[in-house]
Amino acid sequence: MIPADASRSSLHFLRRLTPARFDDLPLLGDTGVTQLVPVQALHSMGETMFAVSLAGSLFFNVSLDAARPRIVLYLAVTMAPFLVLAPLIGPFIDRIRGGHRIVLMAALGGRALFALLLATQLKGLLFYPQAFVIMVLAKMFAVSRNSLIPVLVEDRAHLVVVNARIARMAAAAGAVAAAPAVVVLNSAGPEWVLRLGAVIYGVGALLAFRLPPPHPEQNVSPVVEQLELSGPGVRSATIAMGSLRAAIGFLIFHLGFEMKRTGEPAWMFGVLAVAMSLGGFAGTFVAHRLRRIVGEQLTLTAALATPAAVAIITALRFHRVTAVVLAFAIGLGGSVARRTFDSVVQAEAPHARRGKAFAGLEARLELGWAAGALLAVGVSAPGWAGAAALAVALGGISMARMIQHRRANLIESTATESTLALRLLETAEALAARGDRQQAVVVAMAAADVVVPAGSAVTPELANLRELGRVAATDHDEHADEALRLVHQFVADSYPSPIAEPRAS
Amino acid sequence: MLKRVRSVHTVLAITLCAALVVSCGSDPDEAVNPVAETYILVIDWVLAEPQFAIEVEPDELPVVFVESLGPADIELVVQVAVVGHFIDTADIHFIDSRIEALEEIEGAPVRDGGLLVGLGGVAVDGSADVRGEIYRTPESIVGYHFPIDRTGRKPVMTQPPTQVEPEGLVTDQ
Repeated sequence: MIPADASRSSLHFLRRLTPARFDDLPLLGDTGVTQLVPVQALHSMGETMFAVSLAGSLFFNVSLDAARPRIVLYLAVTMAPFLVLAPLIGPFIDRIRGGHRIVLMAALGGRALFALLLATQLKGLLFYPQAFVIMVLAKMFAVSRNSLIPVLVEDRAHLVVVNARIARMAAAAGAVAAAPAVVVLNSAGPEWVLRLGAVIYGVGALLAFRLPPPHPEQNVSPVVEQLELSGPGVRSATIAMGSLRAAIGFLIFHLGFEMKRTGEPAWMFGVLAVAMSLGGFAGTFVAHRLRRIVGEQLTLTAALATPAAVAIITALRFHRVTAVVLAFAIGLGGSVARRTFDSVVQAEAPHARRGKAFAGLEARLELGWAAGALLAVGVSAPGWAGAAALAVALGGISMARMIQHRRANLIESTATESTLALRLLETAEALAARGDRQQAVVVAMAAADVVVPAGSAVTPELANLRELGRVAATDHDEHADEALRLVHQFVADSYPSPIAEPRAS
Repeated sequence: MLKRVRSVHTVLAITLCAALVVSCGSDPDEAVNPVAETYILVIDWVLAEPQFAIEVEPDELPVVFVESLGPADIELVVQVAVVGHFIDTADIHFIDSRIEALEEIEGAPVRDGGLLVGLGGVAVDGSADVRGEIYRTPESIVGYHFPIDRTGRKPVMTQPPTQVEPEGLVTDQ
């Protein structure tokens, strides 16, 4: 039985790639995940075949100025349906029995088909649209896989580690496929590399069909999903993750164009791809340690700041070597951010993680990648300028996050010495300052309830306040400021020591 | 259930096998664009000329970089048709800037021991001279006027090209 053997050997390989401290995790018990591993490995191997085959493609024969309008057009055209479909992907996957499995199969089967078609068009005009369809199908695979893993993992506590293991496995499988891909490229030509890739994708599609159905999960209300995903922690992590996805999309196309423009040999593109993959591989080890030392949000900031710092050096001295280091840094940052994002979502949005809204969120993250790629192709800046733009963008987001951290720490340190009511008011104030006014009202109302002695009668003032709070927190956001002010006054009146007036939000 | 799995596998396998067969049997693009055919005539002549012979290993193709001498850039469809025509005989690279074709700096020899060919604009129809310049090293740049008759179904070179003073590919160094 090929699938069972493949699963066992892949898992053995996966174990060897995993630090010893995770050996106690019952990954073997997650049968769904073990069957996903060979599918992911085959997808990564096919990815490598596709990337290597591009060395013999039209991209290196035609001038970029002539090709740019078509690249922009095809990038937009192939990504546009994805934009429209992003909110529908989750419900679609959820509605069909085994929806994830079908999407994975379709993505792999589609890639196999288009790889075969592309083999005849590597030097033809249809090269660009077919190559972009293959890229879109890769995005579709990623979205479906990322939303499938949580529903296959039996123990939610292991989700982050399982994700890291699968990412490591993917990187290793991709690296293993590089050698045969290069041999076939040199001996038979790029079209045969694609045909070999198509066979690999085809086998992956067959294995995807044998994936088990997800664990039965209790129905989660869409409201709960949305509330969890719109929490400040998840939102902040999503912005960081989305920024890095956009940066990766930007850098792939920016460096690709720059290498072509400066006449770099095709193998240089391979070196950049390997550097990015190595960064991603290293990130799976770094993320866990960093998270334990500095916490999740600071890890995300570091994941943004590291490529930003390398981009500054690259902008000042754009060269082959600095470009390779930048590719490594962005791969590292992206991987660390992904692991940390998984961890944040697992902790703060456990229901949404397994729900339909998450697939939509994943789809939007992939669109960030496409937006970055479009920007790189459309603007086509010189190498140093692109690196500088990346440094400014990622550095700016890192700085903003640092300021936010300091503010949050300040609030936390002053609040620890106060009573629960005061801490709740501080939190409400911070939420209001961040724009989460309805959540702020709910937290402030809790502060008002805390200062009322247990068992005491509800005064008309408190009853009015509760009603105003209910209205402001549900659908009348315009009453939020008034509710916050009154709660603050109420707590101040009920509290023996004076309380400072709330800052205007 | 088992029957359904088998039927899906069969359909998928047949589809992929059919695509594989089609993929192996297809031919590369044929050049049909008149501008492309004009440029193909010029490049063909250059590749056949002993003075521009490119020495390559038996398993390698001669490398030819092509630059537009203006006034407009060469369209993508033309580039693709030219690349497709020479797919088995030469490795053609259209470039935006000369650094793509030269070793390290402006004024250096062409990369990979190849040639840099500058091609002038082509009139929309009728007979026309097409300017072509060939660069191997900065000291060996030659210019030609190629008399092309494009009144027939396919463009033809009516007589051997005449040598002219190179302009487009000449550098300051």
